[in-house]
Amino acid sequence: MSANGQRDVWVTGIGLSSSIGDGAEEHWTRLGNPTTQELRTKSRAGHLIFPAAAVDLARHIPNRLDAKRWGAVQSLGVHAAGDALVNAGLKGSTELLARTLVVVAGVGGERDVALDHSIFRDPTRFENSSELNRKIVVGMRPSLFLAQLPNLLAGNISITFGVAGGSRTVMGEELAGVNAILIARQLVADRAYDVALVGGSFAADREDLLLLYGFGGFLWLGDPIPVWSRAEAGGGVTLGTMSAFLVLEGADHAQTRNANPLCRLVRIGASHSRRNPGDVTRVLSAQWDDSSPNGMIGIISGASGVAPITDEERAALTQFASLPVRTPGSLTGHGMEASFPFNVALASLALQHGTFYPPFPGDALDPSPLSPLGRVVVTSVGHWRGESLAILESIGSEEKR
Amino acid sequence: MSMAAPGMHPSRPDVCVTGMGIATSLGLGKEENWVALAAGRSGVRAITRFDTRGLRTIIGATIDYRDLADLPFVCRTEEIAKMVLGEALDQAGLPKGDVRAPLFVGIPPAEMSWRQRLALVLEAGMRLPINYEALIATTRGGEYANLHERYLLGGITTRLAEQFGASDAPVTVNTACATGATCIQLATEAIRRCETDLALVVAADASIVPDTIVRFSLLAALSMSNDPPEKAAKPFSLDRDGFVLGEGAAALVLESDRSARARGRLPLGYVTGLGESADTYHLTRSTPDARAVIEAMRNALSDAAVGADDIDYINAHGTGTPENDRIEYLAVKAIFEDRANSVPISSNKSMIGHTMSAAGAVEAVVSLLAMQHGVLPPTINYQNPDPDLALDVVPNHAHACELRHVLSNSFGFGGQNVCLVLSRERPAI
Repeated sequence: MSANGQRDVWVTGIGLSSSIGDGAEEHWTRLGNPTTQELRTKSRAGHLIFPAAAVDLARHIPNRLDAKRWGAVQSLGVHAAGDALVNAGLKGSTELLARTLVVVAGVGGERDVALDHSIFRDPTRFENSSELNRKIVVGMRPSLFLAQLPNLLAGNISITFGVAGGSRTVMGEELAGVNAILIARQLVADRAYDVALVGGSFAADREDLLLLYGFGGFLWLGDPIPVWSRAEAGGGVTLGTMSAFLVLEGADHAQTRNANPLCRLVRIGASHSRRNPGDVTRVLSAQWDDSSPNGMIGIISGASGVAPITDEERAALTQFASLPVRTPGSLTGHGMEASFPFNVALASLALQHGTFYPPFPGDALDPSPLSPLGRVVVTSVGHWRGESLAILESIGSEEKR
Repeated sequence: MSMAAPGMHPSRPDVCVTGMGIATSLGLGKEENWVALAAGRSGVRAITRFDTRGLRTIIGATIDYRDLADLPFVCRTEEIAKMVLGEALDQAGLPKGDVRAPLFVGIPPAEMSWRQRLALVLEAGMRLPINYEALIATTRGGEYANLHERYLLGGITTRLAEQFGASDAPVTVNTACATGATCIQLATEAIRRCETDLALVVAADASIVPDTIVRFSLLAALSMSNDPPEKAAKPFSLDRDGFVLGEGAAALVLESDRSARARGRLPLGYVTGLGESADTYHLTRSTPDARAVIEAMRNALSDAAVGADDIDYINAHGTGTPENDRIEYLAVKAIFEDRANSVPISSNKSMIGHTMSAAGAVEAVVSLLAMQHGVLPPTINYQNPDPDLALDVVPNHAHACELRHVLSNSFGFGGQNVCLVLSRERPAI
């Protein structure tokens, strides 16, 4: 119980997918064997990206046509949401899900690359507006439009699992993932909802997104070396496909239904600086909190590899304390909207296991092993804007009951 | 029922509105808009900003003033958002540079339209074959860095936050047609939780481009009654054939009652009820028995601790699609029972089109203006009533009516329903 009559919020379920696996268990197993870790990348439009691992979508989306129509973002998102509900023991709990909130960090959806290309190939012809109009009237599919709307991942989650209490979709790159979890946490802490399902999904193999981030010079052009090592060569992100959802639940509610929590979501700090030199350090240190943890502390950094802020984050983290750091972005790529939910899910998984996963080469600023793990700080310094962190901690066995 | 029961938060602050701004196809600012809305004027016109040949719908409630017509839609959206936010801050007596309040921004997803993609290809002076790979290789040198910032999903929000000096991390929202209402909901919740005394809401959408028309046409959502344009939007009529795309923006300064009084500002009205629900039936259709919509309306009334009898006017979602108006009627009937055919319910969309991401905020501002003026804005083009929808739609002409409580409905395409209760007076304790 905290101030203002707000209640504790627990993570009672997670679901995730990325290039390194499908589901929490696969992720934990692969993260636990760093020496056998092989970076799975593929080339897309001249850039390396981290594609989705083989994912058993049929687990939650029985109709394969649905998954195809929805596109990668929505189907991987629904998939992770389903896993999170199963993990929390809530899939099929009709009455409870009917009053559960869903919050999604939404992305603009798929494009029909073939259609775009057919227009690009004949630019002078399509400068004539009526030619262009006719082309897109004939060429565009209704299902594509539905796959393009950011709020329809939430719509598909509501339909697939019967999550009907309320539905909020936020946008805005990395900060969307932070705001989604922040909003869900606040509403559960304030007792507006007992349960919230929150997360995001990102597909890296999108040419139009490579174009967008390329405009700003944010793409890493070489082999995907660890994010901390990229500054000398100018820095940049390697995009990674990923999806992650969490079930957040009021502690009293979780206790009453004998749920098995992974950890406590203590706090989310979300900030926005203009990225003047020193801003990242200033903002992160204002949010930093390592007081009275009930165990050792680890850091999961959401560093993207973009210069100079990745170096600034590194300096800030080492300045606060000498703590073990893990950097999933080096292993899975950067998942923009989904990266923060993904990293919060990994932190929850580590706290559930009571130990940090071992570092992999180039990943850790400080490679020391860490067990028992009492607290994890998850950072998110967006590739362009947004400086945030989450604090999670383990739950004592007497509290779980 | 998931929302907190009334009375559970005896100490939560009352949330009032101390500033409003609005822009629609009818004009810029509260004055111009209210005069036109009360006169039952239509802002729908033939689209002239681009060639409409080959499109089935060639009308829209476009914003063409102040040289906005030719901008990329993302820039047009940003400009009207700035205008209405400035208007709202002026009315609230707040600075426009360092306001230090949380900011909730409702906008459509930013993207390059096909025309802009094509312009980029031509501008980059590319040789064949032109594909994304070649285009990315040509444009990633930093020369087009402004396009990265422009087309990020959080780009508009960031620039608004930095120009107006918002505190913390700004929140960008999109729940389709409920977006504006979701922003009001989030801001109200933040004040009720005592996280802030003041919160800013701005929702804007000026995305009438061929891409948008084609997309909604594919779903058979748009009216094709192109001639005459001003007659096309006809919610609740027997011959309604879809909505008309509109452009618009609205901003609200929300404030705890205590803070407004301390600053010596007179509340323009109160946000007293928030209700939401998500539909689980179908991606583009509501549950046929209107269950989810009923739930959202009921939650809003219960949150405001008022009964259906206390509602003097419903600002309808009222898109004018055959489906929406029928569902909304079923919900009104379920909740208002004997009063269903006598409680006034009108659709602003008959005049300003469907302003999509902005609609929830635009219609909240219109509801508050109606309350201030004691006048109900009409549903225009109501010549051919649908006998199955027995409602008092305030047909064709505005009329005077004392308003204490207004219910404003927003039903998002994709199943997100948000209803607000707006009240003239502070809730009784």
